[in-house]
Amino acid sequence: MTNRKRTEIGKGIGLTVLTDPKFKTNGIVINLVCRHTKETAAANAAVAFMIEDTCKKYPTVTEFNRRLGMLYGASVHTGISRHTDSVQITAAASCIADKYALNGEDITRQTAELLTECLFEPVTELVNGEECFPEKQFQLKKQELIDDIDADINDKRGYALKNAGRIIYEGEPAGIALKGERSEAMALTAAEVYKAYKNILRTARIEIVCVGCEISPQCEKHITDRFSAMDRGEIYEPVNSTSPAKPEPVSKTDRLEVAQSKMVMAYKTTQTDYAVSKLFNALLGGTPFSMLFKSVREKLSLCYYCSASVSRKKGVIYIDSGVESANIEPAKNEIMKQVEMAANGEFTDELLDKTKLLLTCALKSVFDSPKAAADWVSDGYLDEDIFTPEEAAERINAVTREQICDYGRSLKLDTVYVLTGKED
Amino acid sequence: MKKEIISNVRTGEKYTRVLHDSGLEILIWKTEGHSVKHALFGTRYGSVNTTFKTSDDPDFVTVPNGIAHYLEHKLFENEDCDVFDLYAQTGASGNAYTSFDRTCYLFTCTDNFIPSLRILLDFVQKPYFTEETVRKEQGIIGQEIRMYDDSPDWKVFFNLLEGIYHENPVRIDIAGTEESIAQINADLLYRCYNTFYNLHNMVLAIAGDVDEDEILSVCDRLLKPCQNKELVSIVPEEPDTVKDSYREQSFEVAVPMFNLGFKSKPVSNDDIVRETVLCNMAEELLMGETSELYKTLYDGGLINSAFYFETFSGDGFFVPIFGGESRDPEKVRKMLGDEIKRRINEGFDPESFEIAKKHYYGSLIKGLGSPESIATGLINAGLRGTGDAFSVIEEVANASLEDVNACLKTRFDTDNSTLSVIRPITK
Repeated sequence: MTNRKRTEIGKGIGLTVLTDPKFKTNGIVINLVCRHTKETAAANAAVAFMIEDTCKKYPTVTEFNRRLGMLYGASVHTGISRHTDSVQITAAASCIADKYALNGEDITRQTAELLTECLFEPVTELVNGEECFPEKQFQLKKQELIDDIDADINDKRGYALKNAGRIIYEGEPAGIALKGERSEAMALTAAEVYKAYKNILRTARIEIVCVGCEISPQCEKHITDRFSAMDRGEIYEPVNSTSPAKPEPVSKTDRLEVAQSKMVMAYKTTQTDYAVSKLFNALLGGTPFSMLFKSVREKLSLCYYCSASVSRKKGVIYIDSGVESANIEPAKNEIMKQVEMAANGEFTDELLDKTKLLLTCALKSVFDSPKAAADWVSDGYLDEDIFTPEEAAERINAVTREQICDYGRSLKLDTVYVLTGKED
Repeated sequence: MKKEIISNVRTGEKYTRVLHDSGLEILIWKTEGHSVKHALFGTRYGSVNTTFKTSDDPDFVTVPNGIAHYLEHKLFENEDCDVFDLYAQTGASGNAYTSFDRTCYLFTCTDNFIPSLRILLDFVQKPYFTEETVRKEQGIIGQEIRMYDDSPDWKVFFNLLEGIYHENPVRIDIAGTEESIAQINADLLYRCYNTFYNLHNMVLAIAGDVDEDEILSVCDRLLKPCQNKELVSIVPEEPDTVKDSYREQSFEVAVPMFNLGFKSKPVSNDDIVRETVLCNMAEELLMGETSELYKTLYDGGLINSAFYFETFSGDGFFVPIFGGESRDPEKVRKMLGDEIKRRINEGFDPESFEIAKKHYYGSLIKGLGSPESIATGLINAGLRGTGDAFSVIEEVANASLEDVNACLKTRFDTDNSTLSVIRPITK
């Protein structure tokens, strides 16, 4: 049984505590949601790098990691992700439950202290009387950010999705590179990134989730005290809007040294209903028995993978595939045919029922994992779209064939992006 | 049927080990309160098992590379339907994987556990191949091989293994090559299936809030008893020294990537946990994030947060590996080599050792948090042949500084290593 409570502990700051004795670990997840703009993307990403593995008390990576080692291999990490049209900076920590400590230490509170020190007490130096990130450390982290942006090309599937995203969301915050462009990262200064850091603390909408076996009152008090003492300004409220479909579909092909081509097709709709969009997506290409998997891969052997995913709030369905160059056109035609068939209701009741069963069974497992539970809770509060996994399952089971068809008919092909070999 | 409870005082955890009359080893770990149930049905058959014999064979036989993986793909196809369609009726998520020394079929579910278990036990014991269906799969597996051809992480690793090993089949891609899979036919698949999918060579591992009696009752009904054919699988004789000390390839990457591996003597299944634990600790102490060398390399811009290390060990192979991105991989190799020599002379310091030990212990406790990771630990223990899933935790708790120092001396020979580098394509 999972126990849950949420309190407002500051301006635009929510703290949820979720406990369940079945967990072996305790975790603290802090999500800071900010406006995503071309001007701030690289600096915000750099902040995530700057606060990850040092703090004033443990100012070098070595000292910091030795501290984590003493806390039985506790982990602290930061990350950056999209939250629809906004950017989400996450600072999270995880440790084993206190009852497993060999010497009775209160590991969770100490880990929470380390995490909040990373966030509130990063290593700084004074430059012309102004507090700033230290130049040497900043240059290392800046290079790491640049390497990280450059490394996107290593995963060709992700690289194709990233390039397709620029076209799909042209002119929208969701089309801005998550970590900024290389040139923008290159131009960053320590002062600028420190300013971005202070701005995040002052204006970000913050959702904190403590989740685990047992969160002690001392641990909860520590987090409440640190966050309620923050100097807060005008708080950013996440905005979500569907992506407008282009008048005509846009096609683009990029060439690279690849053995297998990648194709990303994007369809758009103005419908954003949770259950209908999830179910349509799964039915079309979200399971190993979906329409796309059965036809494009299994029956016609046109792709090694061909799957659909949905960005619900943006009203976008992506279909991405790994395809031989010679099969690009046949695969594209077959994908379009399957989308049309889904819209026309040309699928069996059995397929619809099996898809509902898979989705609802998966929802039952959300609160089995501390991380999945934290993500579910945080997303719900940030979007003001709060429902339990059980309620989500009920909604999915209530979706009718007609709603699926209606969703399918509302889809409009927006973008076809292909990454293919140079010799073609 | 022989049944025993395996328990561990340190963690307070326990599970049941059953040696079933059919020859199958069954490991069941009941976790209270979880919705997820996870089951794996595995065989000691991976890409390295290309030369083998049973009591039925007059001599050893060698088969083309990639058959274990090919067989995994084909078992998912029944005579009348696809296994994914069967799982779809229970709401379970099914999957499978082939590694160097094993093939595992698995599912995760929240409801309908017993019907899902029936599907798993049934299809893995019911092969169906025809020349036509085997030919059709060549296209899909060929596409899978080409997809991995575009992965620099995969390439830097296999180039390392090609540099380290002369003959061991671990140097060949798990899926084989387009040429080797062209030689696979239905007869060969049946031959390999009948050899390696003998229940005496297999393990069933289950974790979740499950009913043990119900599971064993299903096993009694569905497991087909088979005779132990005394399977022996061998790898070609391998020289002690590496084949090449350096390998390089150009690729569409921005920053050079590297894998540095030390050729080390393989160990038996009885010793593999202990040796792997000690080797992991030596790697952590040499170049983990708390080490002096990590700081020097990181501050010098020679490595970044993509840096990692692992002990690549299994049936007939053992290689400590350090990898990541670096603008100067040769310099990383030189500095790590110098540090290894220094530590061989001076030993690691006791305080760092204690921190590394706590860190390792904590990561293992974290692994007890989900039915998926518990069942994976069980199948690892079962396929190792010991059935003891607590051995890793106990080896970590019992490791001494002297053990780790001794491991460093024997397993990190700087004169017997390979550096594999992926460089950006020069435009």
